[in-house]
Amino acid sequence: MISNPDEIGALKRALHRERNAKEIAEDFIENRIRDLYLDNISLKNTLLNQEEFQKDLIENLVDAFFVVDFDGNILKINIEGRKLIGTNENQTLKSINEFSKKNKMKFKALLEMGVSRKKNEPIISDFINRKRKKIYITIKSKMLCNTEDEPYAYQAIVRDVTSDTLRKQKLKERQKALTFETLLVKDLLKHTDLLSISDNLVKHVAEYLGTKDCVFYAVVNNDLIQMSATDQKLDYEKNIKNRLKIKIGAGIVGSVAKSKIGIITGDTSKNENYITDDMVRLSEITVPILLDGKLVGMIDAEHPIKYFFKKYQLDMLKHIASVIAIYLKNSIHELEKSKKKQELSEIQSRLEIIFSSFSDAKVIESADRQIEHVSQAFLKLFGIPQEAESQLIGMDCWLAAENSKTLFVTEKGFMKRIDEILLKKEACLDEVLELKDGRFLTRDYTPIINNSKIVGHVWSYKDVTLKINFDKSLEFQNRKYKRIIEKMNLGLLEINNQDEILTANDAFLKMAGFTRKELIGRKADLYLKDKKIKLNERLKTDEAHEIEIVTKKGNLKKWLVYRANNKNINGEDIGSINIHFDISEFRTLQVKADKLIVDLIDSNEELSHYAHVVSHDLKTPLRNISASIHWLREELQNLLTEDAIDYIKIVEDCTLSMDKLITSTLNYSEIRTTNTEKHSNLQPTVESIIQDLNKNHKNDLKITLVSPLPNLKINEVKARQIFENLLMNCSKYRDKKKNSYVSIDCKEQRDSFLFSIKDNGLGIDKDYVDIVFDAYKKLNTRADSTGLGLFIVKKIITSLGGKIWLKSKLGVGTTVYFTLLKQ
Amino acid sequence: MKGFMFANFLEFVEKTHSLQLIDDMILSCNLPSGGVYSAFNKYEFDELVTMLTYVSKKTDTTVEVLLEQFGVFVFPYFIRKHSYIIEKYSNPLDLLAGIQDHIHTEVKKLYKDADLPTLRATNRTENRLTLIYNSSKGLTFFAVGLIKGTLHHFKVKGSVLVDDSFDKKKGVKLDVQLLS
Repeated sequence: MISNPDEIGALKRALHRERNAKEIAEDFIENRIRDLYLDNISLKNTLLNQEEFQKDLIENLVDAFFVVDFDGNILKINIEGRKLIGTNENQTLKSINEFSKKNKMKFKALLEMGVSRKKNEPIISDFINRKRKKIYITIKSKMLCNTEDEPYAYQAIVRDVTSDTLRKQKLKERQKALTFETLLVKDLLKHTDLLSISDNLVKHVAEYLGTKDCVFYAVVNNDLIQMSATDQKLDYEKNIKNRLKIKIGAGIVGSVAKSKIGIITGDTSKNENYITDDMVRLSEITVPILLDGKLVGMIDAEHPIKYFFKKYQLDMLKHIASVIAIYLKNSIHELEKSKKKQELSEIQSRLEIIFSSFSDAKVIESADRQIEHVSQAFLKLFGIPQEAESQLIGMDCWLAAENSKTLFVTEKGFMKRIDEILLKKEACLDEVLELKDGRFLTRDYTPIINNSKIVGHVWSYKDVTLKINFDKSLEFQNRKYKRIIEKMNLGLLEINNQDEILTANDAFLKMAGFTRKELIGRKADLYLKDKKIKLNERLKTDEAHEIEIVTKKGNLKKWLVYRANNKNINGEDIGSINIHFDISEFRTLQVKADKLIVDLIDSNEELSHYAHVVSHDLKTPLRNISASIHWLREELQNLLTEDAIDYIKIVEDCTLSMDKLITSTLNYSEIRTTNTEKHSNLQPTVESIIQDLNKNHKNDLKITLVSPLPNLKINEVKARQIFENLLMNCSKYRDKKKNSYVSIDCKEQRDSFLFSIKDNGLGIDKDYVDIVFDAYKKLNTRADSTGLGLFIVKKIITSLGGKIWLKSKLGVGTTVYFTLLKQ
Repeated sequence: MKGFMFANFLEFVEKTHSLQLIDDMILSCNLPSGGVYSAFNKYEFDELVTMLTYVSKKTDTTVEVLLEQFGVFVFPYFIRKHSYIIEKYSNPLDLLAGIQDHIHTEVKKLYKDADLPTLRATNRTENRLTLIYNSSKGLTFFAVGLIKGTLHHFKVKGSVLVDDSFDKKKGVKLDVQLLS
C-alpha cells in the first residue's frame, strides 16, 4: 500500500538495492558454477591419471596383486600374480576356480583370514604352484567396497618370500645344527668316554632330527649293542626295554656298520633289511662313528613318516660323528697322556724314594753337570748336613768336586779322573778311592743316555772301608791258617763221596811217602793196610780212630785219623776231610815208658827199703854216740872246763839234730811208699797231736779247734804228718812276748774241705812267703828245724790233690790254708 | 566483513525501527557499497561502524547497546540456516564451549575467507563458563548479544558479565552464569 512518494522512493531505492545484490549474487553463483565445472574437468583428468598410475603401480608392483569377488572371479591380477601362480603369459586367469582345489580353498581361507584380522599384518603361508614349485608367501588382504559402501570384492597383496624363507630355514637349520653341535661338544668336553654321553647324545640327535626315536649302538665283540635310546624305548628305570643286539652286517644298522658309510633309508618298508625294534618306522637315518677308520659306535634314528630325513641332516650327523671321533681320539689321547703322566709321576716318586733311601750315596747330575739329586746316603757319606741339601741342588758339579777333592788322598788324581770318565762317556764301575780319613770308597759312574744323547750322569759312592778291612783280615786269617796247616804235622786229606782223594797237604805226603800226583784222584784206601774196607765206612765221623797203614816205602805206621764231614754251601754231604796224626813214635815211647815205670817202681821200692835200712842203721850209732856223750858229760862234769862242757853240749845238740834229720828222712821215704789211703777221722788224730804238744808247752800255746774236723779218705800217718808239722811250726815260731794261740778251722767246700791254721806267731817276711814250701829252705838257724817240714806237708797235700798256701804278716801272725779232696 | 552481516544489520534496523531510517542512512552515509550487500561478498568493516554511528545518533541509543541488540537479533538468523551445526547441543554452555573448535570450523567450510574471532572456553562447571574473546574488530557486545541469544534459544536464564579487571591485551573475559 503506497502511501506517499517518499515512501515509494525509499522502497524503489530498497528494491533497486536488492536487485543489485541479487545480480551480484547471481554473478557470484555463475562464477562459482564455472569454477566448479573447471574444477570437475581437472579432477576428472587427475582421476584418470591416478587410475593410470594405479594400474602401472599394480602392474609394476613387486608383489602379486589380486582383486577377487565373492564368486571367485579374478577382477584384477598383475604380472607378479600370474608368475606366482605359474601361468604362462598367453594364458588368462578368470577365476580362482581354475586353481587346484586345495589351493583354491587355501586362497579363499587366506583372503577371509586377512580381512577378519584386526591388525594389518601379513599372513605367512605356502602352496605348490602350477609349475610344481613350493612357494612361500605372505598375504595381506582387505575388503573393497563400492560407492554405496557395500563390499564387493577382496583385494590381496601377495609377496613371494620363497627365497627369503628358504634362506631363513637354512639359517635356522644351521642354527639348530650349531646348537646341537654345541650341546654335544659341551657333553663331550664334560665326559671323556662315549658311553657316559650317549644318553645325552641320543637326546640331542633326536631333538635335532625332529624325531622321537634315536639309538646309540656301541661295538662290543663285533656286535652292535644298544647302549642308549630315547625315552620311548626306556622303561621306568630308564633302562632300554628291549636291548637289541645286532650282528655287523645284519639289518640296516648292521650293513652300515659294515660299509662304514652313513645312509638315509627313505622307506624302510621297501628295504628287506629293516629290523623292527619297538615299532615300524618308515624313515631311518644311520651313521657310523669311526675312530681312525675303526667302527666304535653307531647313531641310528627313525621316524614314522616316509622320506622324513634330509640329506643335510645326514651330512650333519656325519659331521657330528667325526666330531665325536675327534673328541674320543682326543680324550683317549688325554687319557693315555694323563695315565702316562701318572705312571711317570708314580715311577718318579717311587724312584725318588728308592733313590733317597739307597744305601749307596748317589748324585744325579744334569747333562750340563748341575746337581739334580743327592741321596741321603751321599749327604751322610760326605758329612754334609741335611739342611745343605737344597743348596747342593742346582750346584755346578765341577765346583762341588773341586770343593770336596781335599777329602781324597790324591786330590789332583781325583779331579783328573772325573774329567777322564766324563770324556769317555761310558759306565765306569767299582773304582776304589782312598780318603784321607782312612775310609775307602768305590765309585760307579753311569751316564744316563736317552736317544743316544747323554741327558745326565749318575755317580754312586759306596763306603767299602769295612769290606776292604774285612777282606784284609780275611786274607790275613787265611794266610795264618794256611801257615798253621802247612806247619803242623797233621796230614790232611780231602775225599769225595766216591772215596777219591781230592787234595792232600804236604804233611800227609810226607807221612805217607807218596807224591801228590800219585794220590790225587786215587781211591783213598790205597794207604790202608786192609784195603778191603773202605775208609769212609770204617771211620765214624767226629771220632778219632787209630788205623794202621803201610807207607809207600812199606813201613808200617800207626796213625790217628779224625774224619770230619765235608759239606758244601747248601749243607749237602760232599765227602770228608780226614786229619791224620802219626802216633807210631808216640806208641813206641809209650811202650818204653811203661817199662820204665815198672823199673822205677822196683828201684823205688829198693830205694825206700834202702833209706829205711840206712836211717835205721844210721840211728843206732847215733844213739850210741848220744848215750856215750851223755855218760861222758855225767862222768866228767866236775873235771871239764866250762868250754869243754859247751863243746859237749854242741855235740849233743848235733846228734839230736842228726837224729831228727834221719827220722824225717825216714818219714819221707814212708810217704813215698805208703800209697794206700783209708778213711780216717781227723778229729781224734788232731786232738792227740794237740795233747802231745800240750805236754811239752802246756802254758806256752793255746790250741783250739774252732769246728769239728771231718772224716776223710786219708792215711792217718799223712794226716798226722800234716797237722803235726804245721802245729809244730806254730809252736816253734810263736811270739814269746804274747799269749800265743792257734785256732784250727775247717770249712766244707764243693768237693773239698778248706782247712786253716791261724797263729799269732812271729810271721813270715813277705820276701820269703814264696819259698817256705821248698825243701831244705830254712828261714832260721834253729837246730830243731830240718827245713823239710813244710816241704813234706806240701808234698803230701798235692799228692792227695789238694793245695796249700799261706798268708802272713811279720809280727802279726801266719795263717796256713790247705785243701783236701773229699774223695 | 561478510555481506550477510551488513544485510542482517539492515534487516535489524528495518525490524527495530523502520525502512525510512535505512533509506535515510544510506542516502546520508555515502557508503562505498551504496548499501547494496550480497551475503557472499566482503565489505569494509567501516561501513558497519558508519551505519551504527548513524543509527545510534538517530535513535539516541549507545553503540554497545545497539551491538548487543544486533547480536540477540542475529542469533536466530545464524542458526536457522545452519541448524545441523548446533542441533547436537542440548546445553547452552556446551554450545558456547564448542564455538571455537566445532562451530567456527563449520563456518569456515561455507565462508572460507571469514575473519572469525577466537573464543577460548575455560573454567567450565555445571552452570558456569568463562570465555576469553579476541577479535580484530572489537565487537565485544555483539558477542555478548549472541551469547544471550544462545541462552534465549535454550530457554534458560543467565547472565553474561564483562570482567573489566581482565588484562585487555589477553582479550576480553566473559563470565557466563546460568540461573536456575
